[in-house]
Amino acid sequence: MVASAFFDVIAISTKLNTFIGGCSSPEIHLFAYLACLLTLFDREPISNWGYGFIVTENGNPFGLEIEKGVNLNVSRGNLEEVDGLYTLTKRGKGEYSLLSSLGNFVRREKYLEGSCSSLAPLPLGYVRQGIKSDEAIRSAIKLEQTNLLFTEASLSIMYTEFAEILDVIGSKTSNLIIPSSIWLSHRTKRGQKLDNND
Amino acid sequence: MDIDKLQDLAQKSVLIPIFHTFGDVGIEAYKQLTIAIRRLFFHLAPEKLPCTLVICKFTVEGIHIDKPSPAKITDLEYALSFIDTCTVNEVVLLEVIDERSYQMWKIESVNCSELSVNALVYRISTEQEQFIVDGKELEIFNPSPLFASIFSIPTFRSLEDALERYKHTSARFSRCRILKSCWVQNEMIYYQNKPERIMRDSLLQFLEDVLRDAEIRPEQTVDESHPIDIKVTWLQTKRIALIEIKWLGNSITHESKFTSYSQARALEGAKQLADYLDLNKIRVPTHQTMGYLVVFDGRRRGVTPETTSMSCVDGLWYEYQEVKYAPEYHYLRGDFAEPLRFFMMPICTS
Repeated sequence: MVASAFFDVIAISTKLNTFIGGCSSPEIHLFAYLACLLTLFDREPISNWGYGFIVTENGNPFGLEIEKGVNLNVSRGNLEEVDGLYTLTKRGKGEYSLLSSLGNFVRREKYLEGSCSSLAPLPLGYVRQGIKSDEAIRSAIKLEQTNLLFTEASLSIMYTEFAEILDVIGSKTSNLIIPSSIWLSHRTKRGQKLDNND
Repeated sequence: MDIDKLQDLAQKSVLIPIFHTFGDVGIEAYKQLTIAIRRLFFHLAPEKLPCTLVICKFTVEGIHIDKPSPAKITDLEYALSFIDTCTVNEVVLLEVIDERSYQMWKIESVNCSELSVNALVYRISTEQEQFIVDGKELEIFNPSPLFASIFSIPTFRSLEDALERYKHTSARFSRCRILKSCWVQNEMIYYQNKPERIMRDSLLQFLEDVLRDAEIRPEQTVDESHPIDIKVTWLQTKRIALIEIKWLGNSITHESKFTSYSQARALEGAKQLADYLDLNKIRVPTHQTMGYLVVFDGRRRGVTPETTSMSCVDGLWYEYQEVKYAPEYHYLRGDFAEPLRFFMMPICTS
């Protein structure tokens, strides 16, 4: 299991707790995927994230390393699962506090924070709909089969979209909540238009 | 990518002016402020606010509102009783100090423009909400047609809980912007022609906004001739819900053709759903499927194409008249939930 996935799970659980309380496994995968996407704003290669994602037949991003990360955090007592929702334990809070100060993970915080804090301006359903407007995800839902994410075509579109958004914002900020919320809002509108035409 | 639409969205985003005015400190204040707003609206429906509410968070350390005799609380649940006693001419001003510390006042007015010089200010009054940043009022873009505030959109893990919420808050008073359009008049006496698509879209939007860990899709084919209205697939389990929608009441076309559906339509819907469930068992045998019949009930007594107003007696005649199902599939089958009837209130003249 990739160490960054272990950290991402614990970080996402911490951050989502502020907005929605306990979070489910699909939600952890979803926000890990969004965090990975947000690296494109800094024109980072997707491979730098450390692990990949596919999309399930139900249209949810899925990362095998994230799944392992959830299981390991539970077995180590960092996360507690009740009725399908995960919350951070006291041990988990301590572990997150320690790991988030380590050089390897400090950089990831920016993207994880940008991902989870998109719940500040936008409701959970809207964030989900925005992410699921991706062509590869829509195709998976329509055909009811798993699909690869981060194809060359979809990455190319996203690089263009993100560059345009940064142009509109103007000033440079390390706070990704702004471009993230604009991108998700735009994607949701586009997804709704495509649904109407289906 | 449509640049004009993107620029339009960017302009509607309150985060850009907040960032340009206060920098990253403003963004952090925004996060704390919106968390507080959500926590408050968890306990208090914004539609039921008796007065104007102003919530603020200072962006400068050490500065706080300096008014006498604040009510100090550590949990926003306690704000409810404070706000409840407010009158329509009063303003409740709430300052967010940190996540466990708030202070509140009940006053005649608030100068939001002045306050917004050093603080991020949120104001909501009669379901209109804005942020005020450096004296400028910024409209808050609310994607949902169903909720008074973008910060009050709940989440549900149970479909039954979500449907119950929809019944009481959206369908009953046709609160949803989408659902409102199914009526011919403001008095909500009879429907437009074929209102079922509007009803489906309204419920679909609601479920997409509030249901966690589920994929919601419209018009899913179960057999070749009749698609089910809404299909809900849970992401973590092998569970599926099939929702069949029917309406009762009267509708009218542009050519004044009148259609009336009574209880028999609901019974038809029940049979249809039972048939879908049987077909679905064959198509998807490995999944656990539950069927839900949702009946939008807009029945009124004595309605004709010439009716333009409604008395309360006639308008509410069917309010408590439940449909008598035969057979009662919800008792005979384990995969058929008790049918739900959403009575839709008219606006009565007397």
